[in-house]
Amino acid sequence: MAEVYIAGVGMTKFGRSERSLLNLMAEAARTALTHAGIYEFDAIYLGAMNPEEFVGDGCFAALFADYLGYAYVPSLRVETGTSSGAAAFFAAWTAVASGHYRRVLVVAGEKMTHLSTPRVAEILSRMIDPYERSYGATMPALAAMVTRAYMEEHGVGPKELALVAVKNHHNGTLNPYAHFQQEVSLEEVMESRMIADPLRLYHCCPISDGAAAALLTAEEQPVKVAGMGHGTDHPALRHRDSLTSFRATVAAAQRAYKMADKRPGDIQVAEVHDAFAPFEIISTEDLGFFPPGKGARALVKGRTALDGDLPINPSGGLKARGHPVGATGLAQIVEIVWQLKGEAEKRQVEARVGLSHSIGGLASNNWVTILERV
Amino acid sequence: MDPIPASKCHCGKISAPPAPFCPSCGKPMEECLLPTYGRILSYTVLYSPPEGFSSPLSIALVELEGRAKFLCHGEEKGLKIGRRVAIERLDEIYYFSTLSLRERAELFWRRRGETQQKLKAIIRSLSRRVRGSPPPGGIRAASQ
Repeated sequence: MAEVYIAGVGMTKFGRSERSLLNLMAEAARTALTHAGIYEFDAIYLGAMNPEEFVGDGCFAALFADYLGYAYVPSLRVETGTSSGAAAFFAAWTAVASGHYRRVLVVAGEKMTHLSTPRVAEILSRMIDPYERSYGATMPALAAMVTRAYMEEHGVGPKELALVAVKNHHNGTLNPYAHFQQEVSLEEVMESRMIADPLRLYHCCPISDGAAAALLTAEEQPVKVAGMGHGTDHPALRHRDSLTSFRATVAAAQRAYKMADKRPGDIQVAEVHDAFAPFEIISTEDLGFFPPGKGARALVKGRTALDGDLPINPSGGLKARGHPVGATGLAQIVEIVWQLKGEAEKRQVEARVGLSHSIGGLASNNWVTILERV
Repeated sequence: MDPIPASKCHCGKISAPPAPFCPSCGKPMEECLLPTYGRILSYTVLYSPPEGFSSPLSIALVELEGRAKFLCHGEEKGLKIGRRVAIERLDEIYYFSTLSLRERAELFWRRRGETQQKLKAIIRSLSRRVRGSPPPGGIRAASQ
């Protein structure tokens, strides 16, 4: 397989927007093309979880290509729930690595904030096993059961969970693209409204609008895709072997590390899917950064802070950057590219190898991407 | 109490409710029945439940005999990982319970539905209630 490079990236500010999804995605795409200085490409790979229900548009890749002014460029949409942005990146990477295409524009986005929270929750809950959904299980409910089991198994308390949100909100203050750019205190997190015991409001990522884009090419560029892995698991919690580790992350990470010929210790910065605060802790263990049950201690010691030895979510993560579901997996990759190229401004860390980790559904369809400065 | 319909695979996987194909290895599954008690593996109390459910909504993941796991509704009181619970079905919904007869009647009274249906459900529940610990027994074949 040929090496695949990232020639340019772009994203919109995440948050509430009055603009259409097509408009947001076009902004991200145009920014990525400008960043690359390349305006001709062979295909468009688009990631969006559910534009049919969120915005009422279908055959969305064709609508987008036309809107962008590239109606004659083949376009397709890739979907793996909340990790669709990473899935589109993967599909584009395989197309370039195989030699089928030379340059592919990847673009991902979602628009959600114009809908009520119960309606958004209903659309998101379509990813849940139908039987478990019939019992009123929502994404926060299932995440709460994972969290409860993790706390019990590893003796982790609510304070450690809250520290994820405090750290990521701090990082968000340094990211002009973040949905939330203000600090939160430990007390604010721990006293926020209970959503699904033990998860409180500030443990949960917000509902956001936004888009991200990247231009992949076979021509040598400063940042390359070193490895990618895809891992899956039963959507139903009741069929899982473990509640406190995500098999889909472990499998995706093993494949990505093997392809990149890297070990967890080689990773110098990571964007991790913290849709719910404890997921950051669990994921840093599943990715092999810390032993099982030790992720919380690493967080408390500051090892995952911006100035720690392994900064996690310098962007602010899903918690502070926001979570326009389809966009997130690609926005994480955009952040890693900025970090590797030294373009992350106030939140810049020193890194040559970075990783991004995206969760689809309740960790039933996950992706791990390893990028490297050439 | 009526046993819980489930399915089992030669690989050892058990699915409740029954599934035609094994979620782990893809082979056809055989129907079986599980005893109506288990142990709480994890739980949550949901304060913003979806439409059609009233808040707070207590949901538990219960491990049944044979390591099959199962989602149930129940009462906030008594939620604890590792606790043994009895499971009972009412109108296609399974409830776990560590509760007294009166608490159980109150729980069912607060369910959605017509008054007459609720009363019937309570009467069925009380009449079916088996006192003392559940009878021993493992997985039974559906034909038994």
